[in-house]
Amino acid sequence: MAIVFALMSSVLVSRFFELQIINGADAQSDYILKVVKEKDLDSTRGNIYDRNGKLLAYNDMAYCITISDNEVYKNNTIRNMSINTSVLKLLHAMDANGDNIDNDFKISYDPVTGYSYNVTSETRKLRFIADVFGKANVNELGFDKKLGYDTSTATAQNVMDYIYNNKYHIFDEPDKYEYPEFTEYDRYRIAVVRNAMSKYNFQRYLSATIATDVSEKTVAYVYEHNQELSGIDVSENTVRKYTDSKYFAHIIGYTGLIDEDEYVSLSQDSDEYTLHDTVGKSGLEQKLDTDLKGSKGEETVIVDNLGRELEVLNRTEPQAGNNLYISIDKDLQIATYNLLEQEIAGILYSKIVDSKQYESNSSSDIHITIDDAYYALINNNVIDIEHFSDQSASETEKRIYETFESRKEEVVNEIYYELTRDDPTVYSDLSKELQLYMSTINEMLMNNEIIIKKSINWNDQTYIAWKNDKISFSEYLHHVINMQWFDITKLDSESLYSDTDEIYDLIVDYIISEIKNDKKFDTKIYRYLIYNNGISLKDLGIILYDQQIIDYDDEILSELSNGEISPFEFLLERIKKIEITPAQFALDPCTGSCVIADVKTGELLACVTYPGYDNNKLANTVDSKYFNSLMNDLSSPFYNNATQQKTAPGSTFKMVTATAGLTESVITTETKIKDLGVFEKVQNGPKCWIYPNSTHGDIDVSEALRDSCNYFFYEVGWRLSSGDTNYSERVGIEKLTKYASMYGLDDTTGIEISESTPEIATEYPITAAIGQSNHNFTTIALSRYVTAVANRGSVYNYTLLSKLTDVNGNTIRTYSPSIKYKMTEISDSTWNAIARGNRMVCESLSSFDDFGDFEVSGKTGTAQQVKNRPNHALFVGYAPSGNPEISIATRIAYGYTSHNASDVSAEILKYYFNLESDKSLLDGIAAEVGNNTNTFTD
Amino acid sequence: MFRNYSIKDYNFKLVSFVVILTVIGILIIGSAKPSLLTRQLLGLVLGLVGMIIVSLIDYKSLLKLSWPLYVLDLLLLASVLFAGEVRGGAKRWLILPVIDLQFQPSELSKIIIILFFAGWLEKHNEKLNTFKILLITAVLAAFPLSLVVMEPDLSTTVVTTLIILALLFLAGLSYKIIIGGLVAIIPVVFAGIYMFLNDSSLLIGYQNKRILAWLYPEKYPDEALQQQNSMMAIGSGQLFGKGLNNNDVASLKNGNFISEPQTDFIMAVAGEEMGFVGTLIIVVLLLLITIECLLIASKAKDISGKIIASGIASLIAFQSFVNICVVTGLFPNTGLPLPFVSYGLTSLVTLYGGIGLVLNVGLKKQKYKSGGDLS
Repeated sequence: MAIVFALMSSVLVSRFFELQIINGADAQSDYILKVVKEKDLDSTRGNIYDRNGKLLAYNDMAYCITISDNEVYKNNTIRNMSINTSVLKLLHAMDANGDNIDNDFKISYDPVTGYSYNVTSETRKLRFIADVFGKANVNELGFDKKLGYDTSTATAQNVMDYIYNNKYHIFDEPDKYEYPEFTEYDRYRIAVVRNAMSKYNFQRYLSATIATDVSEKTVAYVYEHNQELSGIDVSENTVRKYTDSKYFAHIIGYTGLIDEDEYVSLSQDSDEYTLHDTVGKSGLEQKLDTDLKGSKGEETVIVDNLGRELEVLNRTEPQAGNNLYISIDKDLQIATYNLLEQEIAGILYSKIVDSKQYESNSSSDIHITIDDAYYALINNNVIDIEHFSDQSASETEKRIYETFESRKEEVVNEIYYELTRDDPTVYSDLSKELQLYMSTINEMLMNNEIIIKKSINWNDQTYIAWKNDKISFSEYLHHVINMQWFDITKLDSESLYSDTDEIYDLIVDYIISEIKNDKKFDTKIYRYLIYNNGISLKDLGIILYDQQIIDYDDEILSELSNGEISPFEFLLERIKKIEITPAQFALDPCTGSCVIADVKTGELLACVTYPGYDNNKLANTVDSKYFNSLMNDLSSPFYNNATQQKTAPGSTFKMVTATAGLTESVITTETKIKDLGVFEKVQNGPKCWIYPNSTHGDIDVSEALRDSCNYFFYEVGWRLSSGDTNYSERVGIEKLTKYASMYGLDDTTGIEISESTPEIATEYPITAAIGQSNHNFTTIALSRYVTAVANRGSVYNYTLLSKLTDVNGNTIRTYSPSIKYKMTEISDSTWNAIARGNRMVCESLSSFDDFGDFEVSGKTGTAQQVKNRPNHALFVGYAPSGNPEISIATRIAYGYTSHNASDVSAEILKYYFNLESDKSLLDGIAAEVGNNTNTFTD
Repeated sequence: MFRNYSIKDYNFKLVSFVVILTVIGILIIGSAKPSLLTRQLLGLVLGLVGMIIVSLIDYKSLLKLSWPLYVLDLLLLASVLFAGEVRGGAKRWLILPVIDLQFQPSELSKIIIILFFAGWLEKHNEKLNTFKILLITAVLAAFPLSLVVMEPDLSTTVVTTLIILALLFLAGLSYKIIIGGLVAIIPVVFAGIYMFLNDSSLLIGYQNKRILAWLYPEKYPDEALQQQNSMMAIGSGQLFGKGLNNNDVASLKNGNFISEPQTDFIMAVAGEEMGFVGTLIIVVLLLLITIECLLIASKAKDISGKIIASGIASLIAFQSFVNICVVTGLFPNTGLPLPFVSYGLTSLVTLYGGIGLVLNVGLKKQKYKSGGDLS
């Protein structure tokens, strides 16, 4: 037996020898790897200033709530209980103080509809599900015996149940334990917090931030209750703040937590990024991220087995990012934005009529009925119809909701009747209202991919009949089923229906159940309730106060309530005072843009797009409610109308044609061409805008610019196309393209934010010569062009940047516009003729009547794009005429007439050159727009 | 009765080995968890007192109490199941209410079982190789073993079973039966392993996880972590170790990489802080203690004395072997203290009691030669 024991001992000794002597050194170095961790210290992001050093973006100290899992618990039940209860207490305190947790959880919760995924990409969704179920790889998802379902197709509810009952045990056994009071929403938010914590499971020396920029009350609460709030702490962090957000949002952009795609692309150039970083998400914040972010510091720490910090070995302090100065003048940018808004509000104000019907006969005669104006507020989600049924709804809201509900029931019944009756009504014989509902349903079926667009045969006889309103919706649907243009799996994946009638019944059931919960459909019902006086405009006016869309004013509210002012007068007054902005209406016009540049240096002084948005609400952590409201806003606030929106330039293009005509010697400065009204040398005979009322007579090129004579420039276009000898469209287009390209209209301007490429016309040189055809330019491209007109041939590459300095103010880099092209081939006489024309334009424009001795030059443009919508209004110009300092390019899309663009440009120039007091210019009142039916189509 | 004892027969060599090992243990505990040092010192004093008292009591008179002791053992083990304190999913401790002392009956049970079977096997020595006696022996063994396994404490069950088998062998179990038994048991063990690998529901949750973690450490990182860390700690000690009571933050013990290192994983601390030299000393001391016990057994005056001394020797040997194998990753993770070294008053005091028994056997040297070869 002693032998056995001796053998056992020798086994042990040899094992120790192997571990300690043979592999000992490796074990020690492995061990160092395991305990020495590096921790990044965030650097301070650089500030952004305007050209004069006025602050635009900075970092503010903000209190953040963090949570770490550093405590040791007896067992997991106690651990879960302790963390969940702590978080719940914190949530309730934060609710009381109006603070919110950060939420990037991939499932959303809605008290009515429950849980739903909020990721669009399937791979991201699966990645998220795999994370929740603790799988390293999405391939490991599949049928789970214990759970009884396939985890790869888990519903949002499945995932939440798993989190509540299996993963974090969030108050899942109320019979067994005593829990504090909680709601389903509380549970959801605890899950969000636990999920955020779980990212640091193996790095417990780091703590997860669960709320950013909380109030001091919440901070005090956490400090006072730190005994009961295990692991919860306050940290001071910097958050990005923007001083004048809506004016600069598109230029500066915003910062936010890096996402995986950004991480991958940024890591290609720099290994400094980690998945916890804040980076620029758009605009200059994104473009200059590497300059602004500074370099991180580093701390080497020793941690224990759970990653708890034991000791700091060494520390490198972070280096603050560089400060950026942009070329924009902050005050000018703000003034331009406000003047644009005043002008657009003025146009809107002049176009609303106090009648239920208005038949327009041309695009300059389009008016908005008061019903449509009120409906626009519902349609653009300014009035929140969902709030009507909320517990906190006002009396008026409740009353309207009752009306709506009973009408909706009728509508649903009518639709059901139409869909199921034996001889359904042909579409064209339906009431306008029912037609709208039917087409809305058809759209919904296509959007939900019940009807598969791709499989539809556009030449099918029945389909054409449907398109031409010749058959009923029911007949169309039956045809869709017969032709198998639908996807039944979306309706019922279980059973197989072969019979058309059965499938039809299934689709009808689907339609009825869908429209019962469809906000879009509800909106349409409200539309007809307004048209048919089911809802009074007065009530909608009162709701503007109830929903705090406009500031409460007792006097006006009572005037509206007792009929002293009509709903029409009431709404127009709100537009005039810009209490409701044109962007909120999202009717035509609701957007505008203006670019101002220094003509001597090519520096950008203003680059305004209207409407803007509040990038403070998107920076740091995204306010998802605000983000969604921007995404659904019909005025498209994310879109940069100065750099992305493209329209035809209209007559603002005529300087290009003049340059081409004079330089190619098809005309001279003395050549006179007689306006015959109709240009009959080409088919369709395009007309001069003044015809048939009058003609411009016998005029030279400068006078043609003054009068914006279409006929003159048709003739120049004709001559450029060798019209009199051998008319060639190709030659004409080539010539125009050559000169338009010289002015830089063929390329982006080089600014550091997203910009659309302008397009020079590729067909019809005759109409292209007056800025129609398929020309498509951005406002900033027009700005570069008019700058070159003003400085006689210097075409610049634009930049939004001015300089970069380090923290101590030492300049690191300067930026200035470079010359892209110097138009030396253009003679002085040509420039003189164009300048004379441009000056005469402004002399004859009423917009510049009160400029006195101050001389402005420019060119108006009215571009027609869609027949049933107003024309686009454009103006390009420069001042002072004799020795130009700045250029301006303004566009109001669907702004009716160029006069509106020149009016606002005049106001902006008055502001810049101090021709009128800031106070009277920026009075916050909609501009007065002449309501004469202006047929000016230059 | 003391008149029969001669002081020169008192085995001071064994006593000194045991005390040296315990002192080394106390030093390591003092390094791993200083707050428990005095308690373990108290354990040593209590153990020594207990040992001296037990060594002076004639084991023959204790054997007369073997049935009451057996019943007491069953009662204690059963009471754990009803009134025991739950820790880490197992009920192993009894809290003595008045003095608030924690007590682990399965530790005492091992000594009582040795005593009981020493008496039983001596009495039925002649008929040992009959089916009837073997069956009764098996039944008698099954009661305490099943109570321990229900706690659950699989590792103590395995060690106790090994001890009982060693006792049978020492009592002169015929080689035919041993070989027959091995032939019968080995396929069962292999079948068991095979079934376990295919359907791991046979063992209770934490048991099978620990085994699977040992077999596949990369698949069960949390479960295997403790053993991985232990091996790393031992290895990092290299030849001379990092020294007791070191303040090095780069130490697994200080980094909390091994939870409760003063108990079952004390060899990890010993390996890290005292190096190969330290582990060698501990293993050699353990071997010397078992050999001393076996030497006493070989000189025992009767079969029961021989069984007691060699039973205690196998208790120390098996338990030490399993413990160190776990710590060095040769066996799956189980919960067994290292005799004399690990922190734990119950274990320490009962082991000293066991040594006391052995010493008493030594005091009553054989007057005549008999019995089988014990070496």
